[in-house]
Amino acid sequence: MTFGQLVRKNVIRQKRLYLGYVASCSVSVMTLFLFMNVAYNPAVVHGFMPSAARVIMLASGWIVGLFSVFFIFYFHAAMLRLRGQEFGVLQVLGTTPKQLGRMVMLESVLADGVALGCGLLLGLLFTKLFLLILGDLMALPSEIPFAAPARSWLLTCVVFILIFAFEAYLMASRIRRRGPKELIVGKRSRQKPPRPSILLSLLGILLLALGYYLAIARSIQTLASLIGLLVIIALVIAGTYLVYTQGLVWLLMYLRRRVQSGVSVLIVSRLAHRMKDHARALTVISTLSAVVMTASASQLGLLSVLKQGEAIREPFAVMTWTNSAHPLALAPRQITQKLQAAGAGVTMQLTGTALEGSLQQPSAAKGTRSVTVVSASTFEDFVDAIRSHGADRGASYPNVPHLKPGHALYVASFPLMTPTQFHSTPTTLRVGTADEEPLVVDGQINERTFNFGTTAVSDYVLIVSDPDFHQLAAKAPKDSVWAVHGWMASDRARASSAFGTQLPSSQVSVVEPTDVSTLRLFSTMIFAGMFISLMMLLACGNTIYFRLLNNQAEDRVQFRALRRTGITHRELGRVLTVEFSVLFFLPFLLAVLHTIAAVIDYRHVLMVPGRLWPMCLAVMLVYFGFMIIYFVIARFTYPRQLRIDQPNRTR
Amino acid sequence: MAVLTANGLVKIYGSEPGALVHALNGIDLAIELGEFVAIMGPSGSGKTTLLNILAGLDKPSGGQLVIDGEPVQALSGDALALFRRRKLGFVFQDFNLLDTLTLAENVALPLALDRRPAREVRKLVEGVMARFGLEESQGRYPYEVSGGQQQRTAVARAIVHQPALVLADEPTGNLDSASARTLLETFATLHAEGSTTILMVTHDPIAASYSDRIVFIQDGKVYSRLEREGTREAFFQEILHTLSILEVSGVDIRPTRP
Ligand SMILES: Nc1ncnc2c1ncn2[C@@H]1O[C@H](COP(=O)(O)OP(=O)(O)OP(=O)(O)O)[C@@H](O)[C@H]1O
Ligand SMILES: [Mg+2]
Repeated sequence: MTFGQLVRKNVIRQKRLYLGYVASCSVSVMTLFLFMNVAYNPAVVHGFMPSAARVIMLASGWIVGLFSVFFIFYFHAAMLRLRGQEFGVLQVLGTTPKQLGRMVMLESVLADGVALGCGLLLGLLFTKLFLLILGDLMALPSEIPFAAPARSWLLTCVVFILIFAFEAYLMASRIRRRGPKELIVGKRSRQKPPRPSILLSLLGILLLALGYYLAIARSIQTLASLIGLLVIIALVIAGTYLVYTQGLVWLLMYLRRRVQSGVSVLIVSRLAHRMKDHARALTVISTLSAVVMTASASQLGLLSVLKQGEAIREPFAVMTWTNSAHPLALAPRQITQKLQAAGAGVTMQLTGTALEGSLQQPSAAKGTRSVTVVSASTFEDFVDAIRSHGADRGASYPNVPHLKPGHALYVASFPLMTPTQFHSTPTTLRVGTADEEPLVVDGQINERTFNFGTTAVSDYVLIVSDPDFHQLAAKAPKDSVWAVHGWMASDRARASSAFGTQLPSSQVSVVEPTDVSTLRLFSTMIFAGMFISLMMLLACGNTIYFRLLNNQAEDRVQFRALRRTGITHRELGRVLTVEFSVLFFLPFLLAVLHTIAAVIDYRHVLMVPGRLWPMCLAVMLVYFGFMIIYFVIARFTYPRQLRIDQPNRTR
Repeated sequence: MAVLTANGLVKIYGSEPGALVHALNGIDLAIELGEFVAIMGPSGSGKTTLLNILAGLDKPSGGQLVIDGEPVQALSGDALALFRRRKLGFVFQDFNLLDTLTLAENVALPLALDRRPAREVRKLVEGVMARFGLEESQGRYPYEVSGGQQQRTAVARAIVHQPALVLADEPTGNLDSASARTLLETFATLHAEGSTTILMVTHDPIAASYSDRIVFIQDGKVYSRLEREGTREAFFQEILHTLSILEVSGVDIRPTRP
């Protein structure tokens, strides 16, 4: 038998091992190829759909490429670890390390070649489907013509050949460096009884708690940067790892002293011994699952936020701003008539007075900001109107606390992005050309009360007490005093079309129908995201699969011995059910906790209720569904692979 | 009283007419309560196959088997497993202790699986392990003790639940001679106490000489039987003698082979 034949036979005989590896590589290749095919489709390049959609496809492709690197390395390393004994025996028999390295190299080339071919083929098959769905999502007038441009072939091949070559080289040199003894006994010498430390267990829980606390209480905005986010992620990953390696093992060892009868003895001891080996995989899965679930939930949540955006951007169906220098062609009464004629159903009309002012910014952000100054009672009138008209919106508006003379509240009307600037901050206010008045800004409200685009004054509002307002108004020049009118309508769609172009947009804000193209772009992003999530999910399943294979040889011996000692199939089944449940659902559980913390944090940034929680729940359920499928398949195929009941083979 | 009665056990492997392997060709065997029986025979003679059938791990193609009054063939699935758990003890050539359990836990396993109360289990396990000189290593793991200690633990595990019959497949096969002797003396003691019935498959004439009856099988048939009457040394010489005849006759059966 020649060396080449040995290699070929090895890959074919180890097909079950290689199957998982080749399948995940193929899916990576396929996904990248798909995204590239769309991004470099000539029709797409020449503006068949919004360029932003193309950017999404490209970015998704690169994300896939990046993650592929990690997974291909991880899976290949796991696979080679499984074959430690084989390599050890080969070395004992006189295979030189160099030969062994060459064997691993050749095997990788063979497997990777197959993966690349399969991936490209699958990609080609799915491109058409992908384009169809995409066209539908973007509501394009006609189908995107199918194409597999040379550029995407080239990019996919170059990227993966580079990854594969680097990976094959690295794995080969790793095997070459390990001696036969390490390879053969590596497994057994690791099988020390676990000695969990209670201190490290507590540290793990502490790190997790700290991570969650930072995310929930301090949130991204106060940590204010990527570094803050990275710190939280690092804390959570480290905490998760410690919980698995220490906390859980500690719990299992504790249980072990308690449980003394039935198959539970077996279950607890096996889990306790293996948890340390599982820990790395479980940490990876927990983290990855949390990332996938958070990303999906927040994307879907943001979509619902966008849909709500209309009501948030324009709390009033119509809002006008007028003063002596800027009169309107239509008087308020005429506007009401027009709305009613259009069938919008006016339910409320409000009037108030506002001043144009400029506020000295707190020291961190220098300069002045122009603000709309209103009295506390005017502001409350408008808030009350919003409260009584939008059931789910009203609740989030805080009550305006009583303001002392010389004190004010700052209202930042951008619920999507709102750094907190004021907190009992002394500053000065100038109205019109009058003198600067000292005042203290007690706090900040992050809600929108006046329609977006009321550019006549400013989107930032300053609330002062009623007496202060009257004093300011008395001193203010005429053209700094504005009258604001707001209309609530029961049919906002009709209200939006009541005026045509009669009114200047600088002074009048009329409710706008939601921007459809934005929504479409968003759907595209979610679609691409779904593909990536699916790939990650596959990666998670694969990781667990390799963990299972790792134990298979050992389990075969154990279970056959147990069969002789007289264990029933049902009892063996219970052992497997509990162990597999831990492997599949425990990471999911931790991932759910991580996700909840992340989504709470995300909500701080959004400051809009949206449908984040329902979306989050839906994503979790889907994910859970996938895990159940994986679990069922693994749980029912595993005993068959062990071939416990073939009696004549004791080893 | 017979603990085990086997009548005309036949085992045929394979299904295609041309490629059938007759591993057992009608074995008759009866073992009385408290007996220590050894089974000897050349490689491929069907010893492991026989043991697997006796343990209910494999179904015979023909014949009857009754253990402790129960017809084993009538049992299936879980009933068979429960039967093994309560009536049989098993000692393997390669020990087969579970690496994730301490020695004491390994011994306790058959009782724990049967959900016996923890205190009773602890008492029984401590008793058995003390008897085999394993008190010191109760809390240690299999890979932390010697092969001899592992095998004695395996024997402790096989008898802790007082089975009707202990089956041992080459129990000394992986042991050095000193450990093997300790193990065999353990078997002999168990036997001398009169409570345990042991059936041991072995290649080793020394091991076989500890038993009080030997069944030789060849080509799936009982070829010869030998009963111990005098001392162990005398029995050992008799075994060697029988084996030499067996070898000679083996040549006689296949005269065409060089
Ligand atoms: N699963 C099987 N399928 C086909 N033939 C088998 C199978 N198991 C055993 N045999 C055959 O049955 C015969 C008896 O095998 P068995 O394993 O019982 O021998 P043995 O006496 O235990 O040998 P050894 O001393 O080498 O362990 C042999 O010829 C063997 O090749
Ligand atoms: Mg055998």
